Amino acid sequence: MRYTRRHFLQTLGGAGVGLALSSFGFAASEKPEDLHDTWPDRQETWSISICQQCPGGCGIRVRQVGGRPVKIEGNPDHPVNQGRLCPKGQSALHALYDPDRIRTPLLRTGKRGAGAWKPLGWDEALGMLRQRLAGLQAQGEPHRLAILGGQYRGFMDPLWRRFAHAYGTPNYIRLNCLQTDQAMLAHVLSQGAQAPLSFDLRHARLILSFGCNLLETWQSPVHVARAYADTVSAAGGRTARLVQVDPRFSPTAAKADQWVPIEPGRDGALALGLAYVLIRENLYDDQFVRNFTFGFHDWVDDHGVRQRGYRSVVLDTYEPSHVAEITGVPVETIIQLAREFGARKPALAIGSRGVSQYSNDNLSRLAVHSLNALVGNIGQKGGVLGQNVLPFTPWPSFELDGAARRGVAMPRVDGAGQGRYLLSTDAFQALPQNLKADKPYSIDTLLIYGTNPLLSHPSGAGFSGVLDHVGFVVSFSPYYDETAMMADLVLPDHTPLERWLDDPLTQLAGFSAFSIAPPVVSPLFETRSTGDVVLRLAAMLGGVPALALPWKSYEDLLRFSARGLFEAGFGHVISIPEREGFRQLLRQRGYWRRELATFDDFWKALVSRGAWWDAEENYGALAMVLHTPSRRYEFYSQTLRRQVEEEARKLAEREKGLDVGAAVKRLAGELHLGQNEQLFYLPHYEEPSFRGEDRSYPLHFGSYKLMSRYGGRTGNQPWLQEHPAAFIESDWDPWVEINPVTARRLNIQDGEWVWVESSKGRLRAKARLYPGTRPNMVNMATGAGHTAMGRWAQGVGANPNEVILPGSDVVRGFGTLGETRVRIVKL
Amino acid sequence: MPRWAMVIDIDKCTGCQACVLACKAENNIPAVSREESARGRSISWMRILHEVEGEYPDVRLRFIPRPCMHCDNPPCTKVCPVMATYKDRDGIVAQIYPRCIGCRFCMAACPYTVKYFNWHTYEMPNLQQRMHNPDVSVRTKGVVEKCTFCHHRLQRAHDEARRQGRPLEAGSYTTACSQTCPTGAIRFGDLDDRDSEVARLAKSPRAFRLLAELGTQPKVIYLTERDRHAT
Ligand code: SF4
Repeated sequence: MRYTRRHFLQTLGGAGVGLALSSFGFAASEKPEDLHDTWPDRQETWSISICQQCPGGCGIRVRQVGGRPVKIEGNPDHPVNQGRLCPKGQSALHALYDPDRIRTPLLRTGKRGAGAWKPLGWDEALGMLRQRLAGLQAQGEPHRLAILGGQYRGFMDPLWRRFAHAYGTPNYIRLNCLQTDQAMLAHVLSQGAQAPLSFDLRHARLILSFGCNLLETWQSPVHVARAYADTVSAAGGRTARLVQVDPRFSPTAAKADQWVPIEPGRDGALALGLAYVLIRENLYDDQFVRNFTFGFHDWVDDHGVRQRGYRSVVLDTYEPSHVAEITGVPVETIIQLAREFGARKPALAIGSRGVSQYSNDNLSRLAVHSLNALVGNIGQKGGVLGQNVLPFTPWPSFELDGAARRGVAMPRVDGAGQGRYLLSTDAFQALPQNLKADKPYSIDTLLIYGTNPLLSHPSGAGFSGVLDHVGFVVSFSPYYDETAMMADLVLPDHTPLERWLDDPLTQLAGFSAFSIAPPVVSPLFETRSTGDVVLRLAAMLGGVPALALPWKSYEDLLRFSARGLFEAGFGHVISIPEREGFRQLLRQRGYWRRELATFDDFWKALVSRGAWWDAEENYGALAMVLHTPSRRYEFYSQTLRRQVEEEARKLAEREKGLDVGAAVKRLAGELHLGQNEQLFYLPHYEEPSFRGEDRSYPLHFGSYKLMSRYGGRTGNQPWLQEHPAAFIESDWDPWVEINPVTARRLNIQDGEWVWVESSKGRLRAKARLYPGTRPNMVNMATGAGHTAMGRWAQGVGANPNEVILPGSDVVRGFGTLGETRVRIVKL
Repeated sequence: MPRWAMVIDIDKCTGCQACVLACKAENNIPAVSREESARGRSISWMRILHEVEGEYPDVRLRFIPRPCMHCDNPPCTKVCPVMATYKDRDGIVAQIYPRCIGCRFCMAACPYTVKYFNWHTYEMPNLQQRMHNPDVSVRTKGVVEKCTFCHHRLQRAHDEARRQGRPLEAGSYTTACSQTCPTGAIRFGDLDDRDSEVARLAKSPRAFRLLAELGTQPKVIYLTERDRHAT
């Protein structure tokens, strides 16, 4: 039996509370294929999947009626979120049912950006791209293909990487501002971390967060919220204290037990001030420092040169009254925090905030992390942990041919891994400049996947002109975002619920996991999973790419790789809590039992339950987290020293009249390590470099991410647009947070429209008088101000990148976002 | 008969708005346009109210999730001229949309401002209409709507129990907001069941009801914040 939709809702719906007499209006602009005005049967089914609205990695269950997804809930058996979801997750069906999606492959017909397209069939579109790529190969110039990737985890990354390599280009460049799949540089330099380290929030008794928005957008928001809730014991007392250091009174600061307001860009100084008190008052863990660290005391290196240690640098420089002057944090607070940090064990300091804000960020993070080493909270319960590597089946090896070998040996167009970007794996920031100057060579074809730099990058608008220097731009975006609008060819991806999804998780404490999900619905339009497209392209190219990527589909690739999990001899497919509890008991007694006898059974269970996991607690496993040259925690980073000196030697060879010593100094300057040679490789404090003079631009400009948005990808989701934040009066319009006292001085009323101006540009926003704003600052949320993307996104909100002057971010190669000064002007 | 109630721990609420969005998705609540939103017409059965106090750096911020209170003594039902809003046999304050004449007396009578008026029939693109929950009716221009404690879920639980020939069990249903709440700040259950979590929490010294002095007898109970700033 079939019902019309209206009939259906009126007769079956309502469930007693009320019946609708509504008539649906159909917008005139809609295409006939949208008019699915009948309901299929009323069968209710549930399928598992993974939320893709942010990199949090939450497991979801999709409720379907008659095969049609109608609601998303958290997957109660998933270790990340245990059945809960954040507002973005609850809005995720808007991504599937976005009426402004791209529906077929498109070829540009008008000017770039004009939005004139011709729909293509897939065979034609892929044929076009194949021809272009084969042509480049034939000319012996495969390196002139560049692939730009965004924020994603899982096998799409190695797939692209392998494709690029086999094809013969070194230019697989990821726009990495968050790097949830890579170790943080401070952890690499101090611990030699090879994979992301995790923070055991659940078991720490004091969490000292330096500007990390733990309860909003940090790493995995729902996971952290669960951990936060767990610290409130049933009796009502809190088992852990959360201290938030932040210039802005964010929701996280509001929910913390203590908020420590600080001058922007001064986190490192405060951390070293705490270190001073910890050392002076003997509150640090002497045994850990003695047995497991390097560079605490002054020492003599291989060349017989006396090097300063952490201890003497800290005691000489970071006396609390001096630190109070730099940071604006009172001396008493510094002492109180340090004493508490020394006394409440385990105490955890977190400085990995995400996007770089200040040019001294890496030094700040080293300084913050050194506190964990001082109290010996590394590899311990409640501390900084390493997780087990996921035991995937390795991919078959392959040999490059001569042309590809020459191609991959070419320097990268972004210059990552050398000079100023010595410490970055990817330097998107250098791209606009290099592309414009054809440096070191011109790019013929640019593939853009999973990122929208025209909106999200601080030099975004500048980037759009640069695309004209590229022969052919291909976008894989499912939406008409700003970058897709500039493409020559669009090969639209499925939205998440239409494709295979995979997500390896090793960055959260207490477990490593692999989430996986088959498509929940068949594709609504003529789109294709980019994973399948890359594999198809490799097959069409033949030769090395086809040998390197032998799988017919992304599903095949996942199935191949997941076999390793089955064979590993540890871990399980997730299950209901009761069964998990029993397994836990067994494990504690040293038993592991195979649940599923064959790989086929294993695979079936995996894709229907949603994840495999290994709940091993790696407490006390110091060997797992210390991979430095000294096999110890390095206050003095020998890794950094080696890298800098090696690069300096290369530099000196290239440049006449430059000796290695001078080259080291120059490099250190570019890497924001300061000018004092004795401090280069130790945590220390350097001034941030704010841009715009104080007189004309008296206010610091801060930007932050909202819980309701992740970058721009959720831009065309109207519920989220309507409810961006709960801590402030807000709706679709952009707002800038101003301290009421500052506003009074400027004669600005709450809700009034104002200009925010920097020396780069200006934007319009509503003034919101918010006492949580530091008087010498204003703050704005990022992720809005689309100029394309769809009816609910375009022209709504304002993009802070309009005013941000991105400083050079030598760590992420993304740009520092917090060093711009602005002024507020009445309209 | 169970007395369905909600306990909301203000201490645990981080103001993330997962409940707000879960409610919209569950109950077919449209996004009104940007213009309508600017006129204060957005519809949000669950809403997070916030309070900010003090001056930098001594600032406090508090989040108060606010659904319908489902008062045992509701002022709104008494003023409805057409019996479109009433307390049903489950103790839930319900709206019958086809009866509503849009006079908005109930909106004026509700001291908690939980009722919303449909100024228009909000049109969704057809593609988006596919995500409508078939268990919940859509509303049209001129009617008042509000939180139903996800009454349709209760209906389904009743149906299920009947089908299996057993009485309705404790914990057999929960609201969309409480199901998704990341910190578990929103709890739902039967207040008359002495063993239930909500009954236990309702006896907490931190428990209070909004505007209890009005005698509305709300079935949404709040737990106050702890003093988190003392060391
Ligand atoms: S935190 Fe929210 S957006 Fe991110 S994965 Fe979880 S539910 Fe999705």
